[in-house]
Amino acid sequence: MPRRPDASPQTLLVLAALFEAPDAWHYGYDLSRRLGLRSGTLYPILVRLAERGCLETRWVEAERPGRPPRHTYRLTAEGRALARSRLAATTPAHRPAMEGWGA
Amino acid sequence: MKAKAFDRAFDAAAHRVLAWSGRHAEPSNAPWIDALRGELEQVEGGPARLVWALGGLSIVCSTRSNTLTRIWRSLPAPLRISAYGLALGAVMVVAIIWSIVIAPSHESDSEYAAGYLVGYLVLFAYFGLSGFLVARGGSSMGRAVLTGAATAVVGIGMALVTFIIIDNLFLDVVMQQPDKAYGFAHSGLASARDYVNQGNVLGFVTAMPMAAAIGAGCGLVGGLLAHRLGFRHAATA
Repeated sequence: MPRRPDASPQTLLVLAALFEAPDAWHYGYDLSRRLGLRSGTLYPILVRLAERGCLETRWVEAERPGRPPRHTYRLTAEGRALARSRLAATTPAHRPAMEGWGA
Repeated sequence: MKAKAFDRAFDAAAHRVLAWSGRHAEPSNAPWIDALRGELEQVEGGPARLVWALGGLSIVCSTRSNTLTRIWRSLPAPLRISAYGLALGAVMVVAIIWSIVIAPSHESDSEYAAGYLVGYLVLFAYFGLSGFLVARGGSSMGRAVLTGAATAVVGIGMALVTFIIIDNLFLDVVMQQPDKAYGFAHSGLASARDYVNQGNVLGFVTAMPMAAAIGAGCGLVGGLLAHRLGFRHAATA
């Protein structure tokens, strides 16, 4: 019975951003820039979400040849349910940060 | 020209950080380091690339921390409950050996009354802290109480056993303590060894139930505090 694992403001931001366009595949760097999160904050969150089956991942070829493939992400059905419940439970104090991210 | 050289140096450092992270990450997390590497090409500017690559260290550290958590959770419950007491006992054993054998004092205990009072308060706070930490991790109030009691019993028990061993191994040093010498002189017992052992056995028998009760009480207070601060059971994602 651990503490709520996915209730940090940063995780909520990530969930909100992914939930805003649930069918689209999102790039890590784009998420980082849009949310203002450093890679050191964003990626451990993505790892945890993926480990819990909330995040689907896919490799895509880079646009320019010779560049490494890119990893993309979108919420699974379970991830969408998690996002819905977490964002619904977001306290009013956190709401301004979520505005525009599907919350 | 100089700026480009700096950029290249930062870029090289970024690639080294990612390579190091790839070698030290858990195999299951290696793709995430590759994911960072794939995005690195999108980041403009050497310093920004290095900052981006530092995310690899976060993945390594967070997975290590998860590993430690898994190891901790895989330990048998009695060992996890006793862990705080074992840590406390280890510190007390060192302190006892230090104060009796290595740097013995030849003053009466009454000279250190204030120090003992502070020591007891620290002990009680530690018992409470064990309950707090257990409750904060989501365990029940009963587990917080049990952990507080176990912390006290194991910690104090280790200290008392150390006293018994030290008193018998270093009897001549121990009997130089004014309180011990005075007590023995007025005890009517034939030998100093009988005197210290009688005191230790009596102390053990009376102190252990008291330690259990006080530890349980402190664990309860710590657990209640944790719940008061909002650390409650939660459904996992």
